[in-house]
Amino acid sequence: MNVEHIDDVMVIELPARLDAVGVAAIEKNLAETVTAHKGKVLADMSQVHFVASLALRMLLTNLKAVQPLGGDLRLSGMQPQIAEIFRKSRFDTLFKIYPDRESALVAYQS
Amino acid sequence: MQQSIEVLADWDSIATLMAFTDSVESCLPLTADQSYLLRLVIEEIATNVVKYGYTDANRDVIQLACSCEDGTLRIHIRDRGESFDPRDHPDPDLSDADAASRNVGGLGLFFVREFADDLSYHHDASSGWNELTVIKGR
Repeated sequence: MNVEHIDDVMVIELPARLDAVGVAAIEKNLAETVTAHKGKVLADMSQVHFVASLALRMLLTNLKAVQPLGGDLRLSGMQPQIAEIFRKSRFDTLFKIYPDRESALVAYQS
Repeated sequence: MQQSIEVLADWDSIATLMAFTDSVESCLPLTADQSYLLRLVIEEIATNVVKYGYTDANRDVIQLACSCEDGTLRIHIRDRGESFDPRDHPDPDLSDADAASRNVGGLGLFFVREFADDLSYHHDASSGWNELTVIKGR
């Protein structure tokens, strides 16, 4: 899990496979990183090839953790199958989602 | 051509089943959607069998078999745990657009049903085997 800071936005690059094994590998670290930052977070999903219910649960948990702290968790760069999962589950109504990292960063500054 | 694997239904086996998927993908001519469904079945169905199908007192195997003929993927997943027909499970409530109150239960089975063309399930009372068959065309 790569983390970098671009201005006041913490950008987290999520790994390719967010299956049960992938989620278990990053879940604790992600929660600690996101809640410690208490601000604008962008999860760059451009490398992600697989998500299932566990990964959605993890992302929602982090969104719910950061919102009361005045922050947000936004998502960018979803591949078509990942976007389909978000559409079918209507998770696309819970998160702000951008086509790529650049447009998400611009939106955060506006 | 069929590829199959049998593992003990515990958490370590989920990684083994995912690795098996890599080998299925390299041997069978699957579309991207079929590969995704295969991973969903392991992620959502096999983990349910590990979690709810067996207890530590009766832990037994999961068998997974995949074939692809005329472009149609067939996935058979078998176990001897508690019977559970995923077709009976109600769809989750997806209407809540508020993150704080959104319920995420039932999403896994919903994804499998949504991505598959057809699901069939059979519990054999005499042998105790459950078999779920998931089918997806090109």
